[in-house]
Amino acid sequence: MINLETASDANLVVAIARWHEPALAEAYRRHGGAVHALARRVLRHQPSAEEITQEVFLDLWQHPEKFDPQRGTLRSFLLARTHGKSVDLIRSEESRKAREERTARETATAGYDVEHQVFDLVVADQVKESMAELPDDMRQPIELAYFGGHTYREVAVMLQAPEGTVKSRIRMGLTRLRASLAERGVEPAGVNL
Amino acid sequence: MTTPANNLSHEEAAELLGAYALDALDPEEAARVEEHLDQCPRCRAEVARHHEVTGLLANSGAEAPAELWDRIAGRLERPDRPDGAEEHERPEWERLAARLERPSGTPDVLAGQSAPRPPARSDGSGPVVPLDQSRRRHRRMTAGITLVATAAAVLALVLGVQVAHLNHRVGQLQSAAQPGLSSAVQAALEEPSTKRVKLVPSGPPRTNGTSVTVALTSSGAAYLIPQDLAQLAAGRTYQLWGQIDGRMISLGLLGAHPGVTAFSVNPNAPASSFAITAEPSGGTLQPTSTPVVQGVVTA
Repeated sequence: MINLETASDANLVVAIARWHEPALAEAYRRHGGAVHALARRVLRHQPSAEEITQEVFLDLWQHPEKFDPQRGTLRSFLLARTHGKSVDLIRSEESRKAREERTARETATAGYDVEHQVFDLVVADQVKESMAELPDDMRQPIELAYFGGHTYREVAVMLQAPEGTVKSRIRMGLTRLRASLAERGVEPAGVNL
Repeated sequence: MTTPANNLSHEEAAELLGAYALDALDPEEAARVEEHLDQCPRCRAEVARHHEVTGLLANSGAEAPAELWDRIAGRLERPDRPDGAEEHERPEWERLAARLERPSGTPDVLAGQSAPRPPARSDGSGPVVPLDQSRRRHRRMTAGITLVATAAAVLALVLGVQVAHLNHRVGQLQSAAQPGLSSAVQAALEEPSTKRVKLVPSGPPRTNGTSVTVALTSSGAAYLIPQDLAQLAAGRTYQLWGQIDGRMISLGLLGAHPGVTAFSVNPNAPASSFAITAEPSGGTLQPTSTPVVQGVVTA
């Protein structure tokens, strides 16, 4: 049996495919925090975030073959699934309404802001710095789309910019962010395997 | 290039990749980008890079909540194990292991370079080869289906019985053969006399990776190694066919999501080609749809 602590993520996934439950527990230990935090940040609703987190790991248990190492690390795979599921949830009409009300309420009571700040504090400094360095017209659409769950068309309306411009800025912003992280010694590729 | 009009050009798709990575496209647009991604290693690599960056944005450094794990653990289901088996492996396991346990480790995309999928070599030896080395010597050949090749007229009734019989056998083989299958396949692929037949989708050449390799050993043992074969809807199954004396003969059902499968053919009545179709779950006497993949056996 594999040594879970030293196993690579790829080894873990192979063990998961063999229905080895401790391997899933180890994958959860490594990535569950990030998955949960992302779901919480996008959904701004603890029970939904917990549900999404459970779904992401149950999916990995049922369908480990969906993870394709050629398309990135296990962590980025899990986070992409988390983001997709979270966004699907908030885009469903019913919850969109609920979210708007919730956002209004949370912002009004400042509870959300406090939580938000605490949250931001634990994000790696380099990531924060790189993000802050981006020109506003690139950073805003990325934040609105990624953390706000908005489509780029919605972002275009919100920022009163042409759709084509918004999609190029998102793409350019992500590319620039990667370069800026690399300058700070953060190699996105190297962190998870 | 024979791309249908509603397909995105590479440039159009590339423009959308950032928004795609942020799940910020409309569903229709996302679907069109995904179609392009299936065919474009360069764009796949770019999306992988964007996902690595967004993964960092999300990284809070927070611990995974322990109580949440308890709830996940409480919802884990595993299928019934075959009698006595310690570790039950899933049908897709061979494919997954082949992809994940490659010696080179980290995929090229992560180094920021364009990384095409493993080329589908014309000899069919593609990306399925890496299998657990330690198990290689435990060669366990599986008894297979004997392909009954009949001469002239074959009564529909007889064929019907044959199909049912084969279905049954294939079903048994798949589950019984799994633990020793990787070493058997490895041994077969290493054997110089083994013929490889690459089954690919018909129509214009595509690079989305769907293919099935059939390895035919001189003894008649044969292995089917699927690559990126889409899972079928409930109530559907893949069915394997061999063309023998100009006639399509069912070699058995493969299920909705086939893994590596062992079967056997009669060396005295070799198939000139193989095809896999998607059929209703009971199987059919003759193919009722265009093959998903097919390939001709070369001499």
